[in-house]
Amino acid sequence: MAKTTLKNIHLSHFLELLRLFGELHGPVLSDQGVFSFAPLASASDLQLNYSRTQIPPKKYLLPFREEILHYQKGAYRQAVPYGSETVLFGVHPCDLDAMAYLDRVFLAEAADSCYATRRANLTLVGLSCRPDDFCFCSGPRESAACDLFLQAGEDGFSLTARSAKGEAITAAAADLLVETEKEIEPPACGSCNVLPQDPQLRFSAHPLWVKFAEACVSCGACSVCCPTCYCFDLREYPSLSGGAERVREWDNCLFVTHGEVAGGNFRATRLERLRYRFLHKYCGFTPLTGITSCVGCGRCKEFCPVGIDLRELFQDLPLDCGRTP
Amino acid sequence: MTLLANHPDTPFAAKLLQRRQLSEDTALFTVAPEAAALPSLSRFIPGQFVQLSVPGAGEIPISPADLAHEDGTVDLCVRRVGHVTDALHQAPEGSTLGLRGPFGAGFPLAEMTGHPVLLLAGGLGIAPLRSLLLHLLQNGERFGEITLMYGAKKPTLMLFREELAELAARGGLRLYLTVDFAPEEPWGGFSCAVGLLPDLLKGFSFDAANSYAAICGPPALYRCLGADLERAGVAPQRILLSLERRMRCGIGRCCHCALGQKLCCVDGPVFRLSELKEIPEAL
Amino acid sequence: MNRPRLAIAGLTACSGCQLTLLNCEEELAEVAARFDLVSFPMAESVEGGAPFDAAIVEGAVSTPGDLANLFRLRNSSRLLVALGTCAIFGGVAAMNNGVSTREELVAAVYGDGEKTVESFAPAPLTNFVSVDFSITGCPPEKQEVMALLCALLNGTLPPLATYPVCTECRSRENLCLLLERKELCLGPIIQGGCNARCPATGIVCEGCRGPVREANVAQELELLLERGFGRKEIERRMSRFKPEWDYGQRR
Ligand SMILES: Cc1cc2nc3c(=O)[nH]c(=O)nc-3n(C[C@H](O)[C@H](O)[C@H](O)COP(=O)(O)OP(=O)(O)OC[C@H]3O[C@@H](n4cnc5c(N)ncnc54)[C@H](O)[C@@H]3O)c2cc1C
Ligand code: SF4
Ligand code: SF4
Ligand code: SF4
Ligand code: SF4
Ligand code: FES
Repeated sequence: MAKTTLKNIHLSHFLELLRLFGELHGPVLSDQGVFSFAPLASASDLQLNYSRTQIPPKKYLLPFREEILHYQKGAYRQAVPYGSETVLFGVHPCDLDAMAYLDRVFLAEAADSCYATRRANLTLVGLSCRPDDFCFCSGPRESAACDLFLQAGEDGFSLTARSAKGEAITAAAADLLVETEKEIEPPACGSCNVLPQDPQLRFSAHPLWVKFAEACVSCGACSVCCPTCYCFDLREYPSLSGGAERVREWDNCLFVTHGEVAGGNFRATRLERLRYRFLHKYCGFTPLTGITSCVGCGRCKEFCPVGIDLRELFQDLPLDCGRTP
Repeated sequence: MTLLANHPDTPFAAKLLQRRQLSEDTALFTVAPEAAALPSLSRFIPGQFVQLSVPGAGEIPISPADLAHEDGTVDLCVRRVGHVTDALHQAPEGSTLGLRGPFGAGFPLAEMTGHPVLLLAGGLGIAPLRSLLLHLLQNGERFGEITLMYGAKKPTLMLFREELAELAARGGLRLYLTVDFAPEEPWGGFSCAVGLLPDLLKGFSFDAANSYAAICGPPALYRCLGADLERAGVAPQRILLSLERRMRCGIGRCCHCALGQKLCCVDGPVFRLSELKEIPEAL
Repeated sequence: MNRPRLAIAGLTACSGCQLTLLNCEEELAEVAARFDLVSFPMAESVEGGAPFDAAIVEGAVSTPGDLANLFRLRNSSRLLVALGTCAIFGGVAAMNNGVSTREELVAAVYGDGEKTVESFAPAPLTNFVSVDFSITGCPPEKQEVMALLCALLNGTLPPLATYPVCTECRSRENLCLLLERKELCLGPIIQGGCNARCPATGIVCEGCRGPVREANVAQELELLLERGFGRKEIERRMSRFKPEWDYGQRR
């Protein structure tokens, strides 16, 4: 039988070993008391039972603000993204699925070079989760969108390599692994993302549309914290010496400026902007039409100051995949 | 890491050769892109757009007003409305600009072959339609009758009017001009109706069942002209509209330009009226 | 390359905004080399002379002298930039507008005998002249001031962020003081760009940058009332940097 079980007592050794593959990052609790992915100075900082981080791991691929082009001496050049090989440990399945979605956007034809460079530098080690009240999914699951996945059991973890990098890690960790005596329970539910919705629902007569439009303060938290929101603004700033930098920064479709043009706004009211958000999250745009980008992580609901949960707009429809145990 | 010089998000250098003022706030900019840009630019189809960078100010989508010329230069007709266009209008001839593209879907030229084409331009909408017009006239033998109806607020805002008159005089183009308001001062002696484009269209008889129509102008224009053309008998899949949205990336990533589930920069900016009927927020 | 001529002037203010400019130490030498800087510190009357490419004006208008200077600056500059919260909203100087009369204030500050101080309620520049660009903040952010100068050098104005403080606050992974600690944080309705300076150190956003363009004021008020703050207290906090709010605004 394959040696795929990591006993709890060997976890810290395993983490040390991961450092050979890149700078080790994982979920920690910040001084302010916020769960966040950050460098793991010591294994004891690791928050194995974290619920969700405020900012999802997309920050490793698409930072809040970054220079993407540099202008100097008559030419624009691509900026070289900072950062080196990084191992991100302990990512929950929803966040892994979210990164797989971002890959579809940014690694599609004519891959975004800053994104692609960061992506190639990132090793993802997934970790099973325990959903809480904010989670939109209906049960624990596994995700294949990583290099290595750790399914937590009572006294250890069951490891599944999902890529060559993952296999290299398990091979290097062979001494720490033991044969599996008892299979760790496989996840009860395979895919419980919020299902794609009918685009026509954006015009539904549901009274919540108006209520949400009145309550939303356009603070931006829902997209900043969403692991699959990726729309961005581009701005260019000159320097004193005559060069310039073009900066890419996260945007939010609930901001009034999102659809504004000279002499008009294509989404002038917050209601129209909520519809836009609904459409992008649950119905998808070209070429991802029909694909939901909500992975059910529950961040938008937890971090929205007015508790807006767009799913309530279609709550009378089945919310789960029907495979709930 | 290898730098991809021709990555679609990185502008090529382009030199501002010439700037010709067309009206109080609009000028025609002739730019010469560096050689490396020419292969992609030579694939330009009227109706597509390029992303024009003014270093230090930013980048904007512009639909070229002319085909890529043989010498590789491109004509861009730009109105001064804000941040980037301000900087462009102040740039001296010889400045370095940036250019990438062309992007998006242009007019379906192959499909239009053999049909009469009616072009309807309102205001600055003449810019993208001019490149279509020039293509049609250059290949006149391949298309049916070509008509341009162009409306501007007042005579001084009528762009390219000498050029259009000249093209019409050469034959092959039926030209109708109209202004919203008759001016008080004398206005340069070109013949032109007073009234709105839809009024002009009302009195016009043409082979509607066989025609293609291309519209570009302010949003209000699309709503009434689209309906009028359909009523006149033009099939909605042959009514082509060049739409404007806020654009940032131009390549389907930034998500500012969606109309319904379609992205204007990828699926458009030229759409068929039939497609837009499914998208209530499009017009 | 020609050097743009810049006027830097202060009306009724603390000079904090002009200090921001001086604090751009690393860049100051280069700024001085690339611009023709003419400074008009507080209260000094603005001289005529060659026109300016831009006038950067700090402070609110609260004396006839301020007003005269402002008109002179406007008439002699192509661009007029309002620098800082006072210049844009009246700011701290206008905090007591509507609470006590001008006479009471003058009496409180200068004593009863003083009747010669000519002043009126501090008002933003836009009440009197057209303003081409604004940089908010009390004091303004150094990097926004630098962005302005660099853009002026390029013949343009800089594109500044338009989102509220919360956007940057969340992106910095701060604890939300409004949600988690039920504190009186004005972040959702205040113009961002400060990189959530205060919440990042555990202090609520007091609104020194003024309202964001589309402030949902009514909802923010509701959120704060729900958290047990009194209407008076909330209004007092909100009017610290901008005297008048439309508390029913739900845009
Ligand atoms: C496909 C396409 C083709 C276009 N072709 C032409 C053309 O041939 N000639 C021409 O003069 N203009 C054209 N435009 C419009 C042009 O892109 C805008 O005028 C320009 O982006 C404004 O930039 P700015 O920085 O000068 O203005 P800003 O300072 O950015 O803003 C001024 C105003 O323009 C708005 N704006 C910002 N981005 C856009 C945008 N992408 N489109 C429209 N308005 C915007 C702002 O919200 C603001 O209200 C086209 C737009 C599109 C989408
Ligand atoms: S929409 Fe909400 S629940 Fe869905 S992925 Fe985004 S933050 Fe998570
Ligand atoms: S849902 Fe809105 S905020 Fe999120 S990526 Fe799409 S457009 Fe942007
Ligand atoms: S988090 Fe809530 S209040 Fe903030 S923009 Fe999103 S929906 Fe609106
Ligand atoms: S602490 Fe204040 S500024 Fe930060 S997110 Fe919360 S409400 Fe917004
Ligand atoms: S312009 Fe960025 S998605 Fe269309």
